[in-house]
Parts: sequence; C-alpha cells; structure tokens
Amino acid sequence: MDETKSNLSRRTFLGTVLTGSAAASLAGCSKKVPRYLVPDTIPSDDTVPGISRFYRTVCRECSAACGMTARVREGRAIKLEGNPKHPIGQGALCLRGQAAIEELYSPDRLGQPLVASPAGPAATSWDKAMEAFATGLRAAAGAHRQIVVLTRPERGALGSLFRNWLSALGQDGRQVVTFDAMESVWIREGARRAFGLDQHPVWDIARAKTLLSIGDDFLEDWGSPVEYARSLAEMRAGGGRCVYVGPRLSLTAAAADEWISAKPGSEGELVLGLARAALERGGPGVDALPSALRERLHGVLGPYTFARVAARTQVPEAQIKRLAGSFLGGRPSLCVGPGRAALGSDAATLAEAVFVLNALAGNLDGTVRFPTPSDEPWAAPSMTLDELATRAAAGEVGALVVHHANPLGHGPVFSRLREALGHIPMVAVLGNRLDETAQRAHVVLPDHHFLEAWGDATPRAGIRGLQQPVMTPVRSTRAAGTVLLDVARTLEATGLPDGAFDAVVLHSATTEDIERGGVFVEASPRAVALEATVLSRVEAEPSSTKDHPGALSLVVAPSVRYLDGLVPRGELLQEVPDPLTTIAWGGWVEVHPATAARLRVSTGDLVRVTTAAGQTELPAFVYAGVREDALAVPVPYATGLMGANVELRGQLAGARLESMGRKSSAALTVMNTSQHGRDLAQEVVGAAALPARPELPSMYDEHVHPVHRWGMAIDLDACTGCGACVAACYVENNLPIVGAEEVARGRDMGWIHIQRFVEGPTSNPRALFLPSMCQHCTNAPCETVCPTYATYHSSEGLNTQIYSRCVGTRYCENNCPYGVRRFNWFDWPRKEPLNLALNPDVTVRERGVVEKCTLCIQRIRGTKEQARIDGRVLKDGDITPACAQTCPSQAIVFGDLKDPASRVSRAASSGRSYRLLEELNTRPGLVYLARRREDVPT
Amino acid sequence: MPAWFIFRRRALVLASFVVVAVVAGFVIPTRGAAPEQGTLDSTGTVTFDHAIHAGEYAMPCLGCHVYATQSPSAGLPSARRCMGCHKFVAKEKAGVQGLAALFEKGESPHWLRVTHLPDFIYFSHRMHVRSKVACADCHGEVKDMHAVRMAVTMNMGFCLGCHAERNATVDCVACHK
Repeated sequence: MDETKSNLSRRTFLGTVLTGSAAASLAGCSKKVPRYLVPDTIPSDDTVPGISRFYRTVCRECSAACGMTARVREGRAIKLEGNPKHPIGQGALCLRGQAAIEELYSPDRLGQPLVASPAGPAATSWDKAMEAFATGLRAAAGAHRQIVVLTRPERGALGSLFRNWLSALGQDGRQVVTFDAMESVWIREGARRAFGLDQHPVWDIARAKTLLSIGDDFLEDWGSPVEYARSLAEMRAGGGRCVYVGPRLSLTAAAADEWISAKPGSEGELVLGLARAALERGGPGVDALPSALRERLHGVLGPYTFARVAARTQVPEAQIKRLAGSFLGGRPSLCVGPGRAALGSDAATLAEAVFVLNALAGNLDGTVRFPTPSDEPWAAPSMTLDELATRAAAGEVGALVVHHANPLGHGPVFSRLREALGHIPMVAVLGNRLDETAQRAHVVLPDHHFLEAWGDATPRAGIRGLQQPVMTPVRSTRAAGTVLLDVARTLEATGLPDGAFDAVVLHSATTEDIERGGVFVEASPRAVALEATVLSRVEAEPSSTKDHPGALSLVVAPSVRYLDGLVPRGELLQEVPDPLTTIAWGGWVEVHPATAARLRVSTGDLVRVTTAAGQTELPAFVYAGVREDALAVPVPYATGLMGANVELRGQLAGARLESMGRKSSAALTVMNTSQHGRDLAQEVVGAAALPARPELPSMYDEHVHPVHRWGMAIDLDACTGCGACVAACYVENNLPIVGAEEVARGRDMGWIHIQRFVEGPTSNPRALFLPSMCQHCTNAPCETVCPTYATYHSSEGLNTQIYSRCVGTRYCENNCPYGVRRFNWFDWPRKEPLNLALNPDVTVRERGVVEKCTLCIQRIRGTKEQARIDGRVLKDGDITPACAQTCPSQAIVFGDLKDPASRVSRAASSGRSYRLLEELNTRPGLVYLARRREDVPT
Repeated sequence: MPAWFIFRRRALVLASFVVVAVVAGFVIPTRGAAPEQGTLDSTGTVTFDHAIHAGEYAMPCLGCHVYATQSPSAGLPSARRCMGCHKFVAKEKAGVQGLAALFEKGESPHWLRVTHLPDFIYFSHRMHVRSKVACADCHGEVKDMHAVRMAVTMNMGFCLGCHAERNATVDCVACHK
C-alpha cells in the first residue's frame, strides 16, 4: 500500500463531518427550559401565583372519611394533609390518604365516557353516553324490571340521592347495594344477636386502660386506621396496656404490649373463657343483667374453664389467668374485634361473644357505644350483593348503576355476581377506572376524582365531613350526582332537586362549615342491653377444633396498602414497602422458621401455597411472627386461595406449602431481621431510663449554630411502622418511583426507610420499627468526603445537599453509617399528567446526583420567609416537615434543639432518649425515644 | 511510518472530529435569537415595548408586575390588566389589536421567556423587593429596552456579590432548592 496516500475518500470525509455536526447539534437538546410565560387572562381574585392555598375536604380512600386539607398551587393540588379540625384524623393522614394525589393525575384514570362496542369499550361524547344511559333506564322501566344501584358506602347527600333518584324513577328506594369489601359485616351480625341492633359500635380506644384485640388489626384494615392509631398512642401514653390475640404478629400486634398466639379457630374459646371469668368476678356489668339472663349465662359459659381454654387454644393457663386479671382488673377495659385474622368458621358468634365479654366487663355505654342511628335516607336498609345476584339471575334486574364499586376485582369471590351480570341488559358505571366490573359495562360515565367534587361523608353519628372541589377537573369527567339528576330530568322524573349535585350538598352547609371541613356535634348514645337470647348458638364442641393433621392454616394478612383487598391501582402504594416484610411491589407468604427449615426454604425463595380452592406461587418470607401451624398471605394474593369466601374471612384450614426450588424476584428492602446487637431500635422496661452514655471527645471544630439548630424526635413507643411518613415524603419531595426491578436492586429512592427488626425468642417475638432518615449529624461523615463540597453543615444544623455541585462520586453514600443517602441511577420522568403533582418548591433531581432527607428545607425556608414578612418570631410548631405532619400517632416531632422549651428539646432530655449509633460520635440532630416494653415472663 | 499507524491515524482524526463536535455542542451555550422590536409572544402577533410603557409613560414596574411584593414570583400582567387601558388606548396599533383578539377568545399571550433561573434555584421576588432592591439592579434599565433582554448574566457570582455587600444570607440552602 502507498504509505503517503490517504485511504480516506472525499465522500467518507464529508459524511463523517456531517455526522459529527449532527451529533453536536443533538447536544443542544439539553433540559427543557420553560420557553413561555403565560399569565392569567382574568386573574382569580384570591389566588396569588407562587402562594399556596389550602382547602378543606374529606378523604374518600376508605370509609373512615378522615378530614383532609389540600395544598393548591396555581390551581393544582400538589399535597394532601389531614384536617386538624376534623375529629377523625385530627390533622393526620394514613399512607393511602397521602398517596391519593397520584390517582388524581393518573394517566390511567378514566377521562371521557365510553360505550361498549364489538371492539371493546369505545370513547364517546357525553351527549351520546347520556343518551345511552337514558335509553337503558327507560327500557328497564318500560319492561317493569328493577333498576339497582351498586355503590361504595355513601353516607351522605349522594347516598340519599340514590334512594330519592330510584323513587323518582318509580323504583323502590331500597334497591341500593352497598359494597364495602372491608366492612366487618360479622360485627353487625354480632351486634344484632347481642343487642338487637343492626349497627356498628363506636370503639373508644383512647379511653381504655386495658385493650384486648381479638385478631383485630385496627391499625390497618378495621375501619379507621388514622383515628385508632392516634387513640392507641394516647392510650399507651396514659399508661394503658394492649394485648393482641391472633395467629400472626401483625402491625397491630407489634404495637401491642403482648401477643398471645392462640390456635387458629380457638379465639372464641378464649373470649368465652374471659367472659366466664368476668361473670364470676362480678361487677357493674354483671349486676346490670336481669337475673334470668345471668343464670342462663352461668350455664352457657360454665364449661369454659381456664383449663379447658388453655387446652383448646394451646395458650399456657398461666398466661390466660394473667390476661383475665389485667383485663378485668384494669378498668375501663375494651375488647375489640373480631378482626379478619381471627375469623374461623363462625364469625358472627365470635363477634357476639366479644360483645358479651364487653357487657360483662362493664364496657357498654363506656368504651363500647352505639350512637343513635341517622334517620337520613342514606341510612335506610339496603339490598345485599347476594340478593342482587339472585334477582339478576332470575332476569328481574333491567339496569344496574355501578358507582365506585368493583366486586369482580376480587377474583372468584363474587362469582355469582359475575355470572348474574350477563343477565342485566344495561350496566352503567360511574367510576374512575376501567376495572374488572367496568369492563362489563354497556356505558361508562366517568366520575370526578374526590378532589374535584362536592360531597359529604358521615362515618359515624355526629361527624359530617364536607368534601369540596379543590381544583377544576383534570379531565372530561362529571359528578356522579349531577349525571343522575340530569338523566332523571331527561326521563321527566319529578321530585328531585333542580340544578347540579353541588346544590344538594350546599343546601345544608354554610361557608363556615365548608371552611371548617364539616359539621361536628356530640352524638347522642343509646342505651343498650344484652338480649335474653344471646349466645344461644354457641356449640359445646365448636367445629373449629377439627384438626387437619400436618396441614397449615392459611391466615389473611391485612394492611393499609392492600386495604380493599385489591392490588393498588397506583404506583406509590406499591413502591412504599409493606412495613412488616418490607417487600414492595407484590405479594408474599409468611412462613414460620421451623416450617421453613423443614421445607428448606429461605426468604426470597419461590414457594407454592395450595388450598382446596386453588394454588398460587409467591415469594416466601421467613418470619417468627406467624404461628408454626400457619401461613400468612396478604389479602389480594389470598383471594384465589380462599375460594368463594364472601367475607374474605381470615383463616382457612388445610393449606399446604412446597418449595419451587428457585428464587423469586421479590423486591425486599430490608434484608435482615436482626439488629446484630447494634442497639438501633432500643427498648426500656417499664418506667426505666436508658443508661447514661458518656460524652465522647471530638477532633472536629465545633459547628456554631447562632440562631436555630433544627432537629427531630421520633418516639418509637408511638411509631407503629405504618409508613404514612414514607408516602408523605415521596409526595412532598418529588421522589421518583423506580419500580419492582430497581427496588430489588436496592435502588429505591425513599428518603425514609422504616427499618424493621424482629427481637426476642422465636416462641415470643417482637417486631420493632425504626424510621430512619438523614440524621443531620453535627459531625457528619458524609460531609468530609465530598470532593465538590456539595454537602455541608448549615448554620441551622441541617446537613444539606446541593444538587448542582454533586458529581455523583457516591463517596458520601458510602461513608454514611446510617445508609440513608440515595443515588439517582436514572432519570425518572413522569408520565403526563402526573408531572402536575410535582411540588414546585422542591427541584426534581436528575440522574447522577445523591439525595436524602432535607428535613423539608422548603418548608423551613418558606415558613421563615412568611414569618419575616408577617413580622413575627418563629415559635415551636410553626415548621412541620411532611413526615411529622402526617403521622397518625404523632410520633415525629420537629423543632429547635437550641430552644429548651421546644417539644423536641424536651424529648431529647427524656430518660428514654438516645441517638442512633451514638458510639460513632456523629452527634445526630435526630433523637429517638426508646420503645417501652413490659417485663412479661416468657 | 508503519501501515497500522496510518490506518489508525485516519480513524483517530475522524473520531476526534466527532468528539470535538459533541463536546463543543455541550460547551457552547445555545441562545435563542433576541427579538428586535418589542418583546414578542409565541405567535409573533403581540409585541410589548417597555420603552413606551415604562420609559415614555413612566409606568411603575409594580403597576403591572403586581405580585412582586406578595409572592416569590413577580408575575406578568393578566390580559385583563392590559386591556384595562388598551380597550381605549392605542387601538390602531397591530400589537394591541393582536392582544385584543386573544382577549376576545379568552386567551393570554404566550410571552417568550427572557429571564429565567434554573429549576434548582429558589428566588423570592417579595423578599428582594421588600429589602429595597431596585428592579433595575437585576433586570437592567428595562425602561430603555424595546425588547427585554438580560442585561446581566444571572450567575451565582452575580447574586453572591450583592448578598455579600448587603450582608444578606450566603447560606447555600437559602437559594438552592
């Protein structure tokens, strides 16, 4: 080859240069800078751009209907908090309430009407959809068939409207089926048998001195998680004691002072044994009984001696005696339940027994109250789901209007209804999602999200929460109430209010009521007494004692994440891990260590659970907190195994477990259950104080905090591990959702991790929860190793992170002994319109930078600025980070450690206070208060 | 020279072209074209000339940018505020007619953004205006501009210079979100 002649042709040269230039111009595609500024055409009188407005409303994620406050910026809701003025919640929101903002902006939420077509649901206009709706209703009326409304619980104006609407169309107003997958229907049945009342009682947990839970996971799925969490914290802070009886160490059992693991199905024995002891002991509850009933109960309860109960429940007699002593001696007492975990074969009888125990212990009209029921139309009796299925199968139902109810989403459980739907000529759905039930619809008329709509909710007598729109609708949806009123007008029905649905709600609400968030009055209780026929169905030999030798009991594990029994539609609830197993994005089966050893299964292995109804494969989680003769599976993953179990009953005998011989892809966030002796989550026995720790010398210069030194105190005695703080942090700080695969790689971006440790012997384990976030150390190991000074100690005590300086060496992440720093491995752009939920006060971090808890610096900065403008001095409680604000147990307190009168300073000087990894002398700004534990003999 | 060096050298030259081009693309900042006559909206039909409004008629900044004392964001006048005068004033001008047409439709002009800070910076207009920082200190003599342009480069040094002078905070998190 000629060495001097180039191999490069002119064509190749030109092509290369042009490609290079194209590459260079591509580099100009940098981050999108907003190109336009668009002012309002006509500004709203009360909105100032850049300043937040707060609207009171009500959360509709579950039937607890906690008060809610929505923070709105430029007409968009960006953060949800509780409503301090609302008796339920009192300013707190649970995990679901915090995550509710996601559904508002979800691209998968229905945005326009649909009609059924041969090719599936087809988008259509509102006019056409309303026409189809009216035609279907007219046909049903014309054929003299029934129009039925199937709805989620609507205890308010909309519930009354359903009945009035049906009457106006010439139907029976009772043709309303209320579907609440999580309602404890057996409690109502128990109340009917015990007192002749078809009602749920009010359980006053805060007032009790001794609380006994019969499988009742009241921190999770039992009706009002926020209220009960706060009540439990109040109860325990006042010296109260809680005992949990059940087959599994649930979150509620972990928060209790003692877990009594009774043989699944034998809980009734225990309750009746305690009732017998109460009867024998006497007291005001017993004295109130008519003598004939007292005599009868002596006979019924006589056989339930402690010896027999001990034998049947497999609980040591000494423990039962101690329980009876503390429950009956520690008045006022309260027995709550039964919850799902304790439901064996006869749930209603167990509920009846719990009411009897409460009556004999003197709790009626005290910690157990029945308020006078409402006489509003929505409180009238309704049809059952079973009746609907029967009538539909018989061809009697001409139209079904489904409002936010998805029975078909629960798998084979409601198979009769699934079949019966085929016999209904028109199914109209007024909801938010094209879920399993909506897919069977003939017409879908999408409802507003609750943040866009008027409404009200009365979870119990005396509490009417008012719901108002906090922003204009994101999509082309219409209020369900207005749709019904409009279609009734088309059908020329009379007797309904004029105008739209908001007029119906506002008819009985003043501006003050709406600004307060509702109307709250004292409920008048009603006197209750035991029926003469109570406990007439108690069998001498309950069927639950039948043994399935060698087989395991399948227990349902409830949680706030999987509250309604369905896998959540949004991503945030799946990304925030389950508190006990710390598994995100998916299900699991909890296996006792002995069972696991026998089957050679370890955490993360794929196993198969088989019952008479079906089988499913799930990751195993080895957990001492489940009985050796039991397995626990979260609700949505258990529906296929429970068969046609309409009440999603908690226990099923005869389950088998086998290893599949390979690993699963479970996304576990906390890898082990042991503290390895590092004293991270500490406990104190009784009223003792933690031993004093010597102050260690430091070679660093002292940081000077001239004005404030911000810190937080986290009370492990109040913290239940619920995870509401985690969800609040995600929303407030624009945290990205990384998905199952990345979580499994340890790349989740949560700034707060709830570390979960299982302590104690396998025979009597305890679960401890430690919310861990950046400790804002004074001698921070992360600050000294950053090559670009991206992280430094502020003059107010915060360890700050400056994203624009960070180059992503991750040295800080490596050096942090608490493991709280997160690295952005990727960019996580949000699918529109989810980007509308971004908090404008917090920047969205790009890939390549490290981030961590900032103690909500945006709130600190914003509150300080507002205080300067208002000319006032900051006081304790003015600044509240998102986690502290939402905690239902008020376990997190933020404040100025330089102010000796602040709550956080007082907590720091408590005998229970300690700092994490104190021996490293990082001098954290966060203080933990040790969990109080009883010295219970094992 | 050995044959492999000649072949590699060609490849090396080609590669360095591409590398230099790409690097240059990142390093050389991209700038939008500065409009000549008045600040434009995205359709190019509405022009706003500060030299007329703030200069000739000496209208105060806060008269239109009303939120500057109340909010971190100074805001722009709403279309209704503009029409407050322009319903009667200068109706023959093409720019005003463009504005009136938009207002008729219930819309506002989409003004092309000139001054902006990165997303990770928190800047509060109200704190600065209340501290008697003149608008012109940062935005330049807008009353003399036909088309608004950035009179200063708003880099961190520019902000810190003034902060140091006036003993305002230099804490990073006061401004870095």
